[in-house]
Amino acid sequence: MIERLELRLGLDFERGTLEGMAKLKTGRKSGDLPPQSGFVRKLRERSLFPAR
Amino acid sequence: MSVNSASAPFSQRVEGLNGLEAYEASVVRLEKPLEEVELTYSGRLESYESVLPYLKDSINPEYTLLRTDSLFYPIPSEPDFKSLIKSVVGSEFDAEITVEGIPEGLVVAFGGEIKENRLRIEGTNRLDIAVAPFKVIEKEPFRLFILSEEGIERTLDLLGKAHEFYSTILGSRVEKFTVIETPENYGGQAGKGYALVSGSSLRAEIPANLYHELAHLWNPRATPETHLSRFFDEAFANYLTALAIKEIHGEKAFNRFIECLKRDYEAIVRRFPEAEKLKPPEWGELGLWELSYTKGALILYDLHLLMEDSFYDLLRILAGAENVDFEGFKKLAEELSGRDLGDFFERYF
Repeated sequence: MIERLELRLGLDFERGTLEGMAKLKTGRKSGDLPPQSGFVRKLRERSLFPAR
Repeated sequence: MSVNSASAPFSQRVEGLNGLEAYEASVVRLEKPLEEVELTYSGRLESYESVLPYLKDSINPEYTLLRTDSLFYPIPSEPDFKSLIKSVVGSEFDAEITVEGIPEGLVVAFGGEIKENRLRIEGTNRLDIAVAPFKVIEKEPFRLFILSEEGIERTLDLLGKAHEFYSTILGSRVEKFTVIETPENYGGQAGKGYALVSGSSLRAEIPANLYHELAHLWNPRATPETHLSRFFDEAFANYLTALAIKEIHGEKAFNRFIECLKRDYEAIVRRFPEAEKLKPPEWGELGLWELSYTKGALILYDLHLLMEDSFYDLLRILAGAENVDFEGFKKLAEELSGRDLGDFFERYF
């Protein structure tokens, strides 16, 4: 779990790349940090009512 | 994306996450556990649509989206899908972000405070940053980052009505609410006090997605274990949406919304017949959060019919409550209704 995050992001719009510098404080001691992954959240793009 | 340096010795390799093997992550293992770590990383941010259809995030001048789902910042977790979700939903952190390299003409959209290229948010569990040629509309308590002004006046009016309705039944909230427009099919999402919503959802005749994301401002806070099912955020947000639709658009629209929920639930059951037998505490374990949006909201509808007006007391007490779990929910519902709801809870929970 994250308690505090300081992030510096450098974006390159031509190359589509990112450079990041993260200072991370975790709530408890942690040995595993996967910096490139993601998590599913239900896709909710479709409105239950049609657009006008 | 890979880590270039860290404040402590580490190793890294790309691994599929346990429970979602197709989703590969660059997993960094520190030599020893630490409470604080500093690391630099770099790489290309590309769409991950082949694994998760809504993840179209990339860095480009037309529309850039950086969100927790594409993991543009490190998240402490086991390389395991469930552990990752627990880490995200269990976090409540303050973040300060500096964004560099924004070309002229593009605007940074963010749910928290924005001061030039510095962003700040407190008590969040996720981060979403969009960069695009946005127009910014501010009308208290709303701030909208939109790609086109067409139809927005009506949306603002409806948003104001929904906010007033939720405030009346659940208590007022002082927080601002930010809406960030996305292109289509990026997946609507909500963070603390903000929502990412597609242009068509934003301008829909009945902007149900917007009512849904706004309702999250009043979410109960479930215990991390209970939160896995998404019942106390997504089922509640969807049933509050139904109530807002009834208030703003009338009984017929409410009935249509409920029918849509039923149809969507039946579609899930056709895909996963076992879903019919599952109870909300089991939904999260099996990754069937879709059930919270549909069956979960329908369960709350049934409970509303059973509890009648005391259901509003339940909503009001739960709005913003901490450490909510299913047992506490049952006790509170029985206490407020003054009835034995044993049959109801036996059937659904």
